[in-house]
Amino acid sequence: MNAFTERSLGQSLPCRSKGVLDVGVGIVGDAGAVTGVKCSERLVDLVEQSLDAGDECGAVAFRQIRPAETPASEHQVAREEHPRSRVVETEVVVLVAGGVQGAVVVVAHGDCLTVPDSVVDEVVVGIEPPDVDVEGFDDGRDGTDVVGVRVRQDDCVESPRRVTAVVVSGRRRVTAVVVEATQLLANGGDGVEVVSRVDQDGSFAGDEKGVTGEHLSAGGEVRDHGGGEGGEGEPFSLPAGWRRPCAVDGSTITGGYWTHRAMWDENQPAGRVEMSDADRPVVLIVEDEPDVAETYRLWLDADYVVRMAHSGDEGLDELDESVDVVLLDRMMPGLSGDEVLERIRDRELDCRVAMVTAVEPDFDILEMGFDAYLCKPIKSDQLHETVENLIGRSEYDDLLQEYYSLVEKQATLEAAKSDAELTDNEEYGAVQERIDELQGDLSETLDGIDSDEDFIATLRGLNDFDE
Amino acid sequence: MTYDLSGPLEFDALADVRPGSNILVSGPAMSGKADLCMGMLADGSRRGEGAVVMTTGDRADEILDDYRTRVDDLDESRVAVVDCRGDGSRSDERTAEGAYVYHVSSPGDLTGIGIGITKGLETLANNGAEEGRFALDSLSTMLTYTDRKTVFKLCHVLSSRFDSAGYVGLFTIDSEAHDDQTIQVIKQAFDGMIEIRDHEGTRQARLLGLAGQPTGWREF
Repeated sequence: MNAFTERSLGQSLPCRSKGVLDVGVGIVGDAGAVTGVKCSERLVDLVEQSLDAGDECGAVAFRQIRPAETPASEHQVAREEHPRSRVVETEVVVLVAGGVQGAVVVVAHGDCLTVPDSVVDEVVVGIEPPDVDVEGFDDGRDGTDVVGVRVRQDDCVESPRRVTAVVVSGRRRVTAVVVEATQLLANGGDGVEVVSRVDQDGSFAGDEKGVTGEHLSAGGEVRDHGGGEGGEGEPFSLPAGWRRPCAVDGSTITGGYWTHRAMWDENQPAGRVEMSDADRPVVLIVEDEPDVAETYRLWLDADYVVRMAHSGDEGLDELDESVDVVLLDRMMPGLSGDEVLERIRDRELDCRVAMVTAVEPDFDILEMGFDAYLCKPIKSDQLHETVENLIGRSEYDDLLQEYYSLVEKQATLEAAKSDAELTDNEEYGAVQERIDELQGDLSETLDGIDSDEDFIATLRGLNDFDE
Repeated sequence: MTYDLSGPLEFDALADVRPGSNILVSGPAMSGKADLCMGMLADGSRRGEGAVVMTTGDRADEILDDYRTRVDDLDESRVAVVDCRGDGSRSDERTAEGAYVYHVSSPGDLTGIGIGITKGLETLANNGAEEGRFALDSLSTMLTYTDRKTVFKLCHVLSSRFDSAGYVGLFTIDSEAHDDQTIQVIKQAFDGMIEIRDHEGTRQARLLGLAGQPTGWREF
């Protein structure tokens, strides 16, 4: 149960994008690997329909639910493990059909899982699989919790099976869920093990920076890890609407994911299931040393749309409203980082700028208008953390703006109506409810302004906005 | 631990204030809002807590002179003043008695305010003050330098910061200088409000929020 395929781990990384997975669907292919992608409720429905129609494929769906919907008391343990965190519970509904026998749920980034044992034979909670260097998987961040869910075989032959796991997350949202089914009847026969396991020598883990050329392979290529042992035998007939994975160049590959038409972007061959570029934040790297720039790009490529510029001038050319974060080298020939920053601010673009510097600066750097700084040499986890944090600041600003607007609205309604009228007023009730929600969201974003940098930069943002 | 703010104003709910609470102190001009806040800070200083004062009116040295008369044997290394009256530039200094003073360029300079408060909190923590109280006098001045939206957001961000720092915050506002909508909106950024009024020649206060029902008016 604790075997993980290189493919499933690697392919799960794109899902981490922006750290939000409200609803996701993963499809079990013949090799039994499943991943989750951000998608719409409609897609979840499609999978359910597909299962109801008796399609011979497994599927996994998961939904994010609001914390208020589940009693917190059940998850005391998780709270104790994450004393500082606010617990977010997510119901992972695993819809298993078509002969899937087992599934492994992996939740990345320090989340905990609990699974009601009434529905499964075996549950393994919180164990890191011994043969996987999880550090390599999640870029050395909080660690990864793993739950094994072995679904009773007889249950899922006849009808789709629902397994509900509650994810108790120390983070705001569950950031990635990978479900790996171990067997499909459609592949015929016993013991069709999952595809190539991670090498015992830990070669999956990659170098110390958490980068492996394999799982971050930039070209979007879906590698064949020999997962088609089952597929080599009886041809597995695809149900209507499902498509065999293929590489970006259109060539057919063995293994990989099966995708539903609802996931297809018509212009993009299926094969690599991930969030579309439109959903991913854009990071612009302005760095004159090509090797350094390329390293950053490799690190960020799975989660962000990365643009590159090799000088300040080029950087200004690449810059537009779609850029969320700029990584700006301070010392460059031609336009310096400081000058580029000045022009960015002059253009009033709503992007965050992290300065990359060789020397540790003071708060002064924040006074200059930078949002963050990174001291060379930068490590992968620092870079990820900084970019995520800067995106978090944008989220915070947006939430605060919405919060303010609603507080204004609330005050206007209160001034215009009597208490009795307000009680019956639907709009007032909705405003009140959203205000409560936003208070929670605000205190979770940036951990409620826990750091000095976030504090100063947020206040500076109010100034900029004001001017 | 909790903060006891009931020294100058004897309401039960003020005797046991959760760290991270932020309270708006609202009343007409010259009704003793600042005096009330400084009294509450002084109680903390007597217990060795930190005190951070952000002023838009009095100069830092005036604040410190007054504060010394309130607290015997004041440990000034645990006092910081963020002076927003502003001469157009930012600077900081350490007074001869050991207090930390940061000068912000103007009350509208929110970046400077952020830096001043951050450095103030850092200095106090370095001098052993793990807990502390903050007072801002006054939001009404802030509102003349910037708009309601910005002040509301500022209050929210400051409240969040004091929440994570475990401080209590007190913010004064002149209730007669702004329309009702402004007070209603600004109020929303706080956990509670102390309202002050002059009533038939006496000065009265009541407490709203914090712990449950509004209290009745009480002389102080």
